Amino acid sequence: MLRKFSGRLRLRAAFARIGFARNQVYAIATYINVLSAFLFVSIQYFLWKAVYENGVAGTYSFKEMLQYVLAAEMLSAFIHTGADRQIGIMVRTGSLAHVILKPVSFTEQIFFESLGVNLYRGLFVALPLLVCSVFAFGVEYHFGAFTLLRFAVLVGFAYIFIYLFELLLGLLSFFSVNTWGINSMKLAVITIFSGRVLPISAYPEKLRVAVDYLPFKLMYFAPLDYLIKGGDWAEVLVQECVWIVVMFFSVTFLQRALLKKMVIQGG
Amino acid sequence: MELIELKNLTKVYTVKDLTSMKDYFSALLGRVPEEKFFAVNDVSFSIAKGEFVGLIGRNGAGKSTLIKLLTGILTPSTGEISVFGRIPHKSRQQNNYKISAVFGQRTQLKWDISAYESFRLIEYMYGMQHDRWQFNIERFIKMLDLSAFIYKPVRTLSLGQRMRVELCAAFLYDPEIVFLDEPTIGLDIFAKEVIVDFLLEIRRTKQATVLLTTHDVSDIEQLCGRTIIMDKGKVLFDGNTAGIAEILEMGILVEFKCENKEVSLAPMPGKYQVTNLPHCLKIGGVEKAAVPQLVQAVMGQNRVLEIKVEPPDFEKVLKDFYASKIFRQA
Repeated sequence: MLRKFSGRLRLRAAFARIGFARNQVYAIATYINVLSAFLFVSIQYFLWKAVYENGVAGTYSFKEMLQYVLAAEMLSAFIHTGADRQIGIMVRTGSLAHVILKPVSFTEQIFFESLGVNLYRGLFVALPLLVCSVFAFGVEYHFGAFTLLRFAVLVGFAYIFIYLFELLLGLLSFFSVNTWGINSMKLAVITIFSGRVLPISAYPEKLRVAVDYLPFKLMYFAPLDYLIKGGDWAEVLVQECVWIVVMFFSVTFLQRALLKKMVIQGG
Repeated sequence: MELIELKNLTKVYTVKDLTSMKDYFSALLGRVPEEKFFAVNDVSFSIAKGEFVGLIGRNGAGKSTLIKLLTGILTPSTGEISVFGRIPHKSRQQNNYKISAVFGQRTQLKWDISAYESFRLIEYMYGMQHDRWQFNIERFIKMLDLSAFIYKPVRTLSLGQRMRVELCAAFLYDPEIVFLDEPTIGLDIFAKEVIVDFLLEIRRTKQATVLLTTHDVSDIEQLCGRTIIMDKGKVLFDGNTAGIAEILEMGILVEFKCENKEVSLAPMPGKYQVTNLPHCLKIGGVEKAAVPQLVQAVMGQNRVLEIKVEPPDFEKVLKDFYASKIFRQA
């Protein structure tokens, strides 16, 4: 029994290693990733600098806004699993056939491989970004250890939520073989409702209330707001758990329905 | 119960029939003319352990669909199907431990990293004993000559090299059933030879059951004792590879080149296709046993310069098959 468990663990570690190695091969792409992330942070720095010279945006001070911007950019480097994109590619190229022939469920394969990919990105994109930005813009980071720990937990659960969400989108791509439409929607949803670009507390009152009912704020805003502004950590955690359960059932249901109807492209 | 059993298996697709611009607009409104397409139509056969079966058919005959049904990727519309005594699409992951597949134009290996890394993943995925994995790796590296490129990213390999590592991956975990879908497509003769030799060795030593789908009849003749021919979703022929031509009475072609312009042949018992040309006599449909007698007869009546004896052309056999839709069971 223990051997079987350790065998599974080794397999999952192997997937993660492959995800890691896959990105390791492309060193130049990594540099460019860091560079473009840094540029994006820079743009936002100057933007907000100008904005704050003429007033305040929401409840965030300039310093806090800077922290938010940098942290959001760092998170975006490693909390996306790309499950929707991977499934889309598999559907288009027909390599889905091979993935399904494995004795391991393909959702498991995707999850652990992305874990490896994101570990790589966390170390080699997010960390360098942090260092560069702190030096360039003097962003101050002085969070307590417990705060950071709880923040990490929130991010962890957010990661699971994002994985399930992207999995759902990926499964939806089976209905429309071209994933472009779904991708556009995803981009729109994340940009507007997740707090990726600016804290949701800066949104106008009515919109803020509406967005609060949606789960997407859990991707960026909720964890970040806790980190920077403090608040009820447990409440965010509970919300995340609830939405994870909702997503899990949606995904399982969709998966079962699709497995029956499946048509694989290409011969 | 045999390893693989099919009874009246059918798979139907409804395909949207978009022939004119008007149809595209109707599609937007949700009203689309649909057509039923029988990818697999009432197919029945069984395969025993250790068999090497060839599956031939034109493009769109239903071969790939059949393989997808056998591997549980698709669910049947009607009929029964069992692999390892289980229903494929219900016990897919359980069966997958003992199945592997090679699809000619796609690879199961990770694109950006070396084949060796993918092999190591296979070791964990199928719960292999490390010693067995090591043994197989070394054996296959030798048999398929992989040492030169096994550590290079798969993306950088040529088609021939990719196919060889693909085969290594397919047999690495000692699967009981292996589906080979066009494994030699696009390969040069040397690469093909390596692969055919590899498969012959597998056939000689192991109890792996192989279902080989290909357009290449020479592969089938070399590797498969049994052949199934499909067309339009139906099984046209299921029997001994060697016996196909005999059963279809294709016969041997004997050609005589003679000094005399008019080649004479006394009427002989049996039905032959005789073609008379200046200085040449072609006789088709000859049984193997009747060849010496025929040769003697012609030589007795003519001054023969050259004799050519040709076994039946498998390709031609197939062509006639599809044309006449003969249904034969060996």
